[in-house]
Amino acid sequence: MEQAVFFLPEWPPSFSPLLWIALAVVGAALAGEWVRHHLGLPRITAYPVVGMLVAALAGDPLIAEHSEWLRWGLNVALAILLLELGSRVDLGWLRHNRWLLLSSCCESLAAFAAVFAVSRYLGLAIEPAVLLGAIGIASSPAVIMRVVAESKAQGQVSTRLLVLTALNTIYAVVTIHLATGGLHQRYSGDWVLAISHPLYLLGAGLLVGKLLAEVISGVDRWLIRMRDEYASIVLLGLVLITIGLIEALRLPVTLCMLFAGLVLRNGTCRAWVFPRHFGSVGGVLVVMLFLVVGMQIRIEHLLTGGALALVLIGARSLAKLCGVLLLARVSGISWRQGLLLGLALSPTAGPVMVAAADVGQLYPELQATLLPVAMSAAAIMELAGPIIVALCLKWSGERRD
Amino acid sequence: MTDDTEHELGKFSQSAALSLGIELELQIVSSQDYDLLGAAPDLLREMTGREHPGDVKPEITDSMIELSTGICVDYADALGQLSSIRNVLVHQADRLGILLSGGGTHPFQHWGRQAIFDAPRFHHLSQLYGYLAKQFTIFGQHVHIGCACPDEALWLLHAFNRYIPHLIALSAASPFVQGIDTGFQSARLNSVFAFPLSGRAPFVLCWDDFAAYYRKMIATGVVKSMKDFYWDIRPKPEFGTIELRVMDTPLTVERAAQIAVYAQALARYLLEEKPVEPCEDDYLVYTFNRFQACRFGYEGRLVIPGGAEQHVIRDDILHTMALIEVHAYDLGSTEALNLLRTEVLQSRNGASEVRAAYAREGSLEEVVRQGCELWAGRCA
Repeated sequence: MEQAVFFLPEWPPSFSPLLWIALAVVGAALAGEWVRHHLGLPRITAYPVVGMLVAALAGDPLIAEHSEWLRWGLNVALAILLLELGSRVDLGWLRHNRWLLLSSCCESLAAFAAVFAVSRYLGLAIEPAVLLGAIGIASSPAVIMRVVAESKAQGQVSTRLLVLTALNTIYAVVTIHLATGGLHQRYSGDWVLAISHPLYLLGAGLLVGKLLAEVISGVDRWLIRMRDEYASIVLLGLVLITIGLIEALRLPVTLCMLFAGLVLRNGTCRAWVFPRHFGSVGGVLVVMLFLVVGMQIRIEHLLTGGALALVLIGARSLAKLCGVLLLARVSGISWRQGLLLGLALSPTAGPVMVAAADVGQLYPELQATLLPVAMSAAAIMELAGPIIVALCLKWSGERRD
Repeated sequence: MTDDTEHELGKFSQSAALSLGIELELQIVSSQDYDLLGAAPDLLREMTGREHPGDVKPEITDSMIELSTGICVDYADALGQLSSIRNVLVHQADRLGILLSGGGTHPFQHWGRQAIFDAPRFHHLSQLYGYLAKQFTIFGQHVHIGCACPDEALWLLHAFNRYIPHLIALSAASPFVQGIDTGFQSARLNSVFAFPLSGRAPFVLCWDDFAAYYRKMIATGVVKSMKDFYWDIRPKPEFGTIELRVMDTPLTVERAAQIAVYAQALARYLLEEKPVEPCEDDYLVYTFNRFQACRFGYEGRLVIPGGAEQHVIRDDILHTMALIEVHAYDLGSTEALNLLRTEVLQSRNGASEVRAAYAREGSLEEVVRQGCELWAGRCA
């Protein structure tokens, strides 16, 4: 019987899962740099791939044990991205250029119709098809924001890409919640519930967004410049408080943050520029975001949806492309720019996926029909999206890195 | 590259004496971060086929665009043409979600981030001048004044040298460079001085002598055409004009038109009253005077050529305005002259407005935003 020396660790030492996650972050960051320098692709291309590999190696317990704070990190990263995205939408521009607003409606409607039609053709019931169509409306804010920021792209394609993404994300979230209302009606037969739920989400979402925007611009006026590092800490804190509030009120983060950004930008005529340092605070979280998204992708996800997922992606991308191209010239861009803009809108949105998953949990009946296809399509686009956007920006000649 | 050399100076075209032409280089600004934005190709594409007087052309970097009027006769004509080109441009910029601004420099753009406009001449200049080409992302107003004959043009060109500080002080609108207050009222001209062929034209008063000088310069291989001279004032034989090039682009089209007709009335005064006879020695004080105007604006001191007498530039402008008043009246620009005089009396020019906006707002982005609104003719 040997006595273990009390101060020595057990052998073999047991590492906390935090260590593995940290290792994954470092691995992802390094892979990102490698991808950037050797393949000329955006860094975020590598993160979900690394996440996928880590999940495949370490298995579920890694995520399961830490799902709570991972979800928090994910929410914060998304919240920051969406706040910035919202603040990129200049409502004055949409007023001056109605064709742009119209082309936003066009591409969103077309994407919805395409996904809905394909799902119906493949035998889905109307409700899940509507939900799938709503998910199809949104382009991925995270992928598009990051790729545009990383390539320092500036110009008609990249600016419109951001504006159209912000708008179609709003349409998507609203549609999803309306559809959720529809499901309530269908599943519980309660009309009051069906109407009041989406109304509550939209109204309260707008209110919280407005509140955050007011506080931020108040602090901004008070400090004169919200530009240095320390102001970023205040801003981060405010975002965290808002997320807390949003969770307590059971509101969608996506909508609240987009609205907050929109109000920040358009609520005052003063020049609002998103603090530069804030981007780097978000940068760390972004690695986490894409890593975690990647961890949720399984190889079988890529396969189960199979051909249906590919058909969905194809139809949706084509619809978005046509929607943009239709009004390209009247809205003030060349055919070439319209083509690239339409293609760059194709990445599917992670947050909308999350929303769909929530609905799936509310209504287990949908689990079998809706989720595999949606997850599969989302997974494929999560991996391919950054590359598509990066190439479109490169061909548009707007990259300045 | 020898094929595009213009070996002989073109014939000096006929143009109506004292006719006017105005060129303004404009800043293209992003409405996202208020920095310069390389959107000249987009804006030019959307401008094609639109009805407007004058012309719109690219400039050396793709965040610049140049508008020019046709031939104008007086203030109302010049202002009318400038306003309608401005309106068409601003309308197209609104469609593209971008902004346009006057001013001699963008307050915080970084020259290293600018890109050369995709055209052979600009790529050639970029190769020749290296980083100077990108640093040339500065914005000036050029005023053409029609001359009846080439000798008169050269005479007027040199007679104008004494008044160059006036034009600088009146138009100065570039106090900030790369995010820093330079202390100058027109810091833009400092970027022009870096070019080897900047400065003043050689003192010759006869067109044949000028043509001989041109041939000699061509023979050295240093220049290929008149365009390679970056002089403060240069003759433009194709138009039959002299071109005044020291002004910053003012913050509004109104101010641009007023400065142009001030120069026009001054030219008429010089040509008709011949108050001075230009000589080479006038240029002894030229760079000193020019520096004073760039640095201190209206408060600068101007040494009167041919002596050691010093005037405060403000007083000299006001005195000159009194002298040319009758010519301004004959040319129909009394209103413009009065407006300009008020500005001088209040020590106001673009630079002081930009500085006041910065003191008020504490943010250069907001200064740029207000500048864009001002340029668009909407109140800021």
